[in-house]
Amino acid sequence: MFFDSLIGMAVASLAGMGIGGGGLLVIWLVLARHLPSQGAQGINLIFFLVSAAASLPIHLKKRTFPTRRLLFLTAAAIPGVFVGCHLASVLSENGARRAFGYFLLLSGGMQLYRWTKTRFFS
Amino acid sequence: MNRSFRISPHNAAELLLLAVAGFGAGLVNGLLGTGGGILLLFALRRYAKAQDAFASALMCILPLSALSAVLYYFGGTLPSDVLFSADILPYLLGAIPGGLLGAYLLDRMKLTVLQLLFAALLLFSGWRMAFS
Repeated sequence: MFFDSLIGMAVASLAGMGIGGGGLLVIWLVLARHLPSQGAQGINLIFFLVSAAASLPIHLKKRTFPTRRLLFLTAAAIPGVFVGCHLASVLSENGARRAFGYFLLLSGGMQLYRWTKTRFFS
Repeated sequence: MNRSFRISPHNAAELLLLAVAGFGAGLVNGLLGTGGGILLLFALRRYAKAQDAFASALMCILPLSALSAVLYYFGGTLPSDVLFSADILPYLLGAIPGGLLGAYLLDRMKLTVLQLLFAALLLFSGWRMAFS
């Protein structure tokens, strides 16, 4: 149990930084704890909420936010959540997951390319 | 970086971009339960330095994920036996100090390390979603 808390703490620190946990906890729960995938994703979601909420006091104190744009983005996102949740109940999730996976691969590749370029060529 | 922001026809292009990014982030989060933050980050990084953009995306994604969790719960996708299971407790115990640690480290970590870590996580999650 102590080791599980340590794993949780390591993944939560990535979430608290705002770079996300990359679904690392889901992998741990499925491969090491043999939980079913859907249950693991549920635990991951609750876990993320707690990690992010715990990081808030420090972020609110230390960071500068583009507040009005942030409020506008959040307002635009709320109807998106309703549509997304509705789609999740009527569509097969696999196609959407795969498509978004390719998008993440592309974004990660671009990020890595930019990182390499600024590091080695400037 | 911190240009004024008003909801007016002069800002139409920016408003459209933010609205599409926000709606898209909500859609992805609702559909997949995760992942919307990346779209927010792309939209936000023009207006804030990297660390502030990461924290801003997190501030925005937190209520969206909470809303997704509520909708999943009432839709039956997040059953009570998962929500109230003992399995979740050790991770939640780690989540609180971990979240604090992450926020604390965000300032202290070199930007290049942060960017590399972010790229690695994107590639890893992308590979997992696309191929497993």
